[in-house]
Amino acid sequence: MKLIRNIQVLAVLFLIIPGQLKSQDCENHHLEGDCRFDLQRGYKSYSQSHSAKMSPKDTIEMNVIFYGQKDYILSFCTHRKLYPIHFTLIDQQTKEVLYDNMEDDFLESLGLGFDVTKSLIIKVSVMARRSTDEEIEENIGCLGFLVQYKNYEKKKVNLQL
Amino acid sequence: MLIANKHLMKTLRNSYIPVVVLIAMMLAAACQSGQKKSSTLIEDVDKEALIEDMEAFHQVYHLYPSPAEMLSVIDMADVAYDGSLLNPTEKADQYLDSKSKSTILGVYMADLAYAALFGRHEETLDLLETVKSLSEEININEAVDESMIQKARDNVEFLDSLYNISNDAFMNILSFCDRNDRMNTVVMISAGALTESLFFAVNMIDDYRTADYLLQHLADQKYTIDNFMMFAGGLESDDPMVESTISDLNMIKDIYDGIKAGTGGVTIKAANDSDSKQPKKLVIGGADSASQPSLTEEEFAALKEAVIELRNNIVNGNL
Repeated sequence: MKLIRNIQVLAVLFLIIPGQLKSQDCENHHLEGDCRFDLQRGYKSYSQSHSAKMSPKDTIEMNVIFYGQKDYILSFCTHRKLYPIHFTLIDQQTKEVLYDNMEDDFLESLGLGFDVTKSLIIKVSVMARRSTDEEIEENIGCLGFLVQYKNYEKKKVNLQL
Repeated sequence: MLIANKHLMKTLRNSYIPVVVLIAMMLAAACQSGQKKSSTLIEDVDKEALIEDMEAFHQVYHLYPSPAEMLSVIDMADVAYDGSLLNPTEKADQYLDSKSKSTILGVYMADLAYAALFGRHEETLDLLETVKSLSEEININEAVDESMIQKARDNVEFLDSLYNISNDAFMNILSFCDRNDRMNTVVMISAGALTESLFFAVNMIDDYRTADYLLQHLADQKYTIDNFMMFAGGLESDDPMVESTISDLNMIKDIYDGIKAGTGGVTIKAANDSDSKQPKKLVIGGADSASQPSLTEEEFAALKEAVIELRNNIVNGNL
């Protein structure tokens, strides 16, 4: 009897867990969500890493400054029901789209080398292809944006390409 | 003894069952969330229509680097440490009102980053204590606590560790303020940190004609100022301290607005990275010499004067 009660309690607990999607605190999702699997030795976390709450209808734009002569890894993560994540990199000054992850089947991690300092707009949305209609209506999940960086191995002589 | 063991085994077996079930369920959950999901399409036909019907929010975040990241761009091997540039920690208790305390905390955070980048153990620990004490005074003491200072003491020999601690302190403060709806405090701290970081940068340039790399770094801070001002201006705060902080930085913003912004053109190419474990990589470069912001000698002189004036007003409590 005790065993059955234990299992019942555990089952109830597991039923409650999906509810966290609605009420969770997203503050550190870039460190605690799937993004953490992209943490690389030799790279430092960039202070412009960010997390936010979002629903499948929302769009998030982040204006991020990337210093030159550094390698970066951008990682995006969210709740499993909200994948895939769609992001584009846009030159803040010219508004030219530099990259769209749709062309790579919505990859979630991208390496970027910056020869010169640039300010980019990173536009993100979640497509929630794994959610049911009810889940899409009800759920707001966390989006995590983890940026890691390290200096170029050798300072490149030609700063302008 | 055997009976006792049998009984014990039975008891243990019974008590293990829920644990085993729990572990199995946890493993199942971990397997579900432990890997990034593939973007396999299940069915999308009605979903897009449903999403269309939901209320949409468009959130914009203007982000900017920490003082440690701003300063780390400068190759410290090329410049000498100058302790006279720091605001003396003995002055920390001279700042009385909330704006002065918050802004000077930002100044000390940039000083902390500067000392840490040069591996100045004593100054770093001293500044960390000052940052902790000021954080307590403006009630954000959870962000920089004794454990962080102890960690710095324990790792004082490691340059990277000091840098990380200085960076963590800044990020913790921002994060704490964000969590507690104190974005006005973030504006004031960031303004102090930004001003002090620019103060270091302008003072590292002795001769305009020979300072190509440092000048480019200084010109690139146009992006930082722009993002910071957009962030501060977008807060919809009626806090007069936020308004006056924005106003304090307007002179510097005006100078940056007047400089040649560059065409912004870029080249973008795939990197030749043979390591298949690494994510896809692109390399972004300037399109030509006119693609980046640049400062003329006159603009540099005006910027230097404005930065020094603002910084001195902050540290002398004249704002």
